[in-house]
Amino acid sequence: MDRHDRFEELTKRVVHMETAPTAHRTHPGLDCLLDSMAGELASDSRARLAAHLATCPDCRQRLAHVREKIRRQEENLARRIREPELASALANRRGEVVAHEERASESWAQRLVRSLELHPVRGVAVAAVATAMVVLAVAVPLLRIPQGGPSSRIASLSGEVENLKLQVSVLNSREGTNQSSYAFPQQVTVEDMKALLDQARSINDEWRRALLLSSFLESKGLRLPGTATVDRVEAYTAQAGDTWESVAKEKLGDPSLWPILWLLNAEEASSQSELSPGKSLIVPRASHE
Amino acid sequence: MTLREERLGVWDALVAGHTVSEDRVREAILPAARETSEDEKLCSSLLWAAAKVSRSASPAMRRNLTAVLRYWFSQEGFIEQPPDLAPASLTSAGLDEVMGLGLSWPQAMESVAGNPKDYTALVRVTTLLRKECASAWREMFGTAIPRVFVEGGD
Repeated sequence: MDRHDRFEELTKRVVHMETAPTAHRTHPGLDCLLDSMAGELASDSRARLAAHLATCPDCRQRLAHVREKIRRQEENLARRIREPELASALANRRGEVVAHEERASESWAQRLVRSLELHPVRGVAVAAVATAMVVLAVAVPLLRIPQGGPSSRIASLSGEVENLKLQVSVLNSREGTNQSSYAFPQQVTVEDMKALLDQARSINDEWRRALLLSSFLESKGLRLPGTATVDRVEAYTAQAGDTWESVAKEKLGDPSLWPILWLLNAEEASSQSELSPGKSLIVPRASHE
Repeated sequence: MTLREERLGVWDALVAGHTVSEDRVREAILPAARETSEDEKLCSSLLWAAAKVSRSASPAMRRNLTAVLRYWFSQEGFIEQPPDLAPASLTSAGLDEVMGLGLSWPQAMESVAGNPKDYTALVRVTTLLRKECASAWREMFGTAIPRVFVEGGD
């Protein structure tokens, strides 16, 4: 063991001797311990207490418990102090959310009024722009009205209808469903139907004939509605005043689909151009029946 | 107060990192000069040396001295369930707080905001204390200096 180790051993021995427990007759009270922790003891009292604690394991243990209790209470207190801050932060946040929701539920007029109240300069600018837009909205349509009287206006509306039809057919083709692939039926005459029938009769192959008829109907935009089918048919007795169109409207929901009824009853139809009361017809049966 | 209690009062101040005046130390130690117990003389000389270092050494060495004293005294005194305190919370801890904690040297250094990896500080402080102990023994007791304090006295 070298000199350094021996000195270290000496220091350990000294510390051990200095702090060796001693039997004390009296012990410091709680007030004294608390004053010591608060740093409110005079230096000589502090030294005396330190000497007592260093040699009295019981008092040291007691002081350790007191310190731990105080530390926990300080933590609880700090937590309670923080809680109101958290509650206040939450309340502020709730206020922001409510204000946001109120703003979201405002009409454009309320928002405009609010903006006028908050920013007068901006409000004047918005009012000026709004006035200009109203003037334009009134003036431009007046400038664009056709100058040819009611007939010109009707022609214009017809054009718009045609455009709408085109747009609907484009949209339907994009949808791709069977029912929505709707095309507006084109005008078909009885002469057209008779010519078609003559052409079909010239074809011996029943599949080619069926293909010819279906192609014709397809080209004219004539399709059975989804509620009807030609696989299942039923008899219909013509009433007085019935026409192909009226029966088509009653059975198929669309008078323009009369060529389909006409083809189903082609043998009878081709011989006479108009329906006579009491005549028995074949009509598609509604698919839901 | 007994002599030991007087010394413990000074130790407490030194462990807390305070500087102790020479007068106070003389007050606590000199009555022991006539004591016959060798152990009492050893305790007094070590306290004298530590107090002198606390007054005269560089700030870094004074800080290291506090760490050394906390390291030594924390190994003494048993406490049931010692508090799990961070060393940094022991900035001004006295004897009663340090005893029983069983600090490691790095923890003792952390308690004085020193470098916890500086193990040479422990050696440097004990070497200085040993020299001061020899000087204190000569000044206080005038008798033959214990070999443990004398340089090259193995």
